[in-house]
Amino acid sequence: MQAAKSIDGLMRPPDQVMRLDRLGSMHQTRLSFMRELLRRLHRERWEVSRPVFDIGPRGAGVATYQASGPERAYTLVCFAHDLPPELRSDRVIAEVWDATFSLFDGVPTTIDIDRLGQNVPRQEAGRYRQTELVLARANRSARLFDNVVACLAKGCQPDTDALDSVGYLMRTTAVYGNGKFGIADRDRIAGRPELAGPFQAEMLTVWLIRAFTIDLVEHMAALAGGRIAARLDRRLCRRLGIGNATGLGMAPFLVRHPALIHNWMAARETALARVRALPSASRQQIDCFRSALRRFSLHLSRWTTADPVLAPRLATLAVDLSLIYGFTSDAAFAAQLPWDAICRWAEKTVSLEARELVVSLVLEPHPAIADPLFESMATDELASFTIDGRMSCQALLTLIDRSYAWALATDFSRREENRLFWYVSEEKLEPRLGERATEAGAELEQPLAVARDVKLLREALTACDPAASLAQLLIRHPEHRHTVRRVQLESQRPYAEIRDNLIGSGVRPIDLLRCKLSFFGATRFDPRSDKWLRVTMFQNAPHPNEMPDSYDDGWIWGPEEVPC
Amino acid sequence: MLEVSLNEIENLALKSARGSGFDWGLAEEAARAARWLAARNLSWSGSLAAILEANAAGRLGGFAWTGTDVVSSVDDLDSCPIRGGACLSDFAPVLARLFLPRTLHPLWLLPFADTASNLIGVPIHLRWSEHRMVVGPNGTFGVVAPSLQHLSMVSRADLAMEIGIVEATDLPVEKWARRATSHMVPESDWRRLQHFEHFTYVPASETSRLSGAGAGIKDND
Repeated sequence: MQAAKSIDGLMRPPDQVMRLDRLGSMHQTRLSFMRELLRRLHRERWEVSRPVFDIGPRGAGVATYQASGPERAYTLVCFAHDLPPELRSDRVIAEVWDATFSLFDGVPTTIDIDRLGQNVPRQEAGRYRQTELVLARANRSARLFDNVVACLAKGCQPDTDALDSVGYLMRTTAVYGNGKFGIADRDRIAGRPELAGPFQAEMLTVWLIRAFTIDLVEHMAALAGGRIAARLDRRLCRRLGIGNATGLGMAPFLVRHPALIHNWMAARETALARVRALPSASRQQIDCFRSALRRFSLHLSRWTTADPVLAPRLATLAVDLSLIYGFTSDAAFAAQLPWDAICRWAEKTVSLEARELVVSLVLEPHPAIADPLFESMATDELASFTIDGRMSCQALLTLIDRSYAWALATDFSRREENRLFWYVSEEKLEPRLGERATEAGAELEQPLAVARDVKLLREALTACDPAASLAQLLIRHPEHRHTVRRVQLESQRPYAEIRDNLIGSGVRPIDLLRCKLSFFGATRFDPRSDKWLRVTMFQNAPHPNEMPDSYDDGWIWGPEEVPC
Repeated sequence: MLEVSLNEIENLALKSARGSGFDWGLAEEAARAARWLAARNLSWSGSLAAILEANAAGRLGGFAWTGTDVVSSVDDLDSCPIRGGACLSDFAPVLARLFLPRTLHPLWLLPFADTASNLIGVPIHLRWSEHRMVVGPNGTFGVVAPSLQHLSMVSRADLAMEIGIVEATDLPVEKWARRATSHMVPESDWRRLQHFEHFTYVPASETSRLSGAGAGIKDND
């Protein structure tokens, strides 16, 4: 076999990748966080037990799920509540939920569980300790939950169409980690191999919540139906994931963590470039690619949305899938650099949705290339914090001109380019978007207008002696300090910056959400406006009691055909 | 006392510093410095509240570059340790000395001295009246006199820093204590900081309630 070609020239440039419309077309890949979590749990033979399950007939009570690995155990403590339907809301600002959760570091005592019971149901209004790693809550699906309980109580299985159309029994409305409300800082767990990668504690929490939702409907059905009650068919269990409703609160994250987003994107782009550099494809790799493509076709048929922007894009994606089938013949794979050829063809032939899907598809057969890159996805953000005050104004100007042409080209005197401002609402303490011309509060704008701020910094730099140091600039103009930090950071991390104007009238915040959620491994994106969306997580994943069996690493693509 | 995480400390310091009038980049410096101090079990909360109160009241001066030195730009005001700290880390490579007259809570220079020392690879000597301390690269320090705890109690002092000039007897040989991942904070300090955090929030209006989060359609399923 020939040696792989150098990846120089095969890395997609940030100007191509870091655009909102491209980020808003991303799909899960092998590097997605929930896939890495389950790979590790399977590889290390983690075991999940249910030491406590004390739930009443109306679904209220407490349960615990203990995940035990080679060195440590983590316990999901679940509090189930009987919530009147009128109080149920997906909004992050709700105050009551059907179920609330905390991931406990280790095995909680009854005293710990009692303490958590006083706090976890109150979520943000409670206080937590360093033994709590994650805080989360979920609501029942009004369309599905009661229906499934009723069917099982009568000894029947639920209608598969209804089940598929929703895809989950509960949806989480917030999953908090990293020190929120007194829970553990990431520093506490960052040195543990199983939680060192991004969002691994959060992903473990959601996976265990999914197991709880299945147990909960079966338990409530058994209490209602007695001996005739059925358990949920195991194949149907697989098809149920956990829903998630996400809004503007998540949007600023990618802008505020430029070093982290660089690491995520660089891992993905490096994996892609290395695969494209392969001189040939093996039969096994081709079969894997085609299997993922077939499985995605079926998945797409169940991916529905009423969103006026995404719905036509999914229709086009369906057409593009047949083009991809047509192009990826045996002859295409027999050519030199077959993976590169597929990517190049896709880039000039199919829609953005399909191009980004092709990225996921070509990574799929290459675990040895892609999976080790997961290790590079975490970051120590302190390492990129310090400003180098020695740098000259001219040198920074050169960096700006090299990487920020997309920002400098924006005319902020035009009202539509400067139309919005990001702020934090006093009432809800959540990020919001306001209209600059008609709403009060623009003077309290959050520092997310990167393009505008870089342009202002460049103007200040051109007014300086080019040989002067940045230290000299910043002592007179501290208002540019946050932007100087970003530009210096970006010069070492080319995928750090979202290369679009985030305050222009064309911005769709859900593009930011989709990028982050695709890194999580979420599927079935369903925008409910341009500011919030619903997704499904862990759909088709093995449940805890299925992990010792032969493990299908491609579970996320779904079944090849409808199993029943 | 309130038990809080380092992430909460960093976030509150960021927002409260911004709310007291610091530019975003300096508020980021304050947030990082607060986390640095808290992670070493150094008292940060009451001093930060005092710094922010002085900042909001316009009682803190800035600095200027003369071409050879950093000097206080307003003679009759106290020196701000956040702005002074930023000057230290920005100018350390080209400065031999930095003098900050009447510095509020000189403890706050330690995180910046740590940054600067790591950046240029030499120790930084801090001196105010009878107290001396040296901060070295790679998380080292030396308390020459009288003690670290005492430094936390100094609320205002003329502060002289020497960069890279340390006598052999003053070498930084100690390592900061194992970092804490949570911190006990007096609730009164926390409330003083929240007072400034509040100024970063935009009050709701009828328009923002309807449009700000993109709601307006049924969000239940």
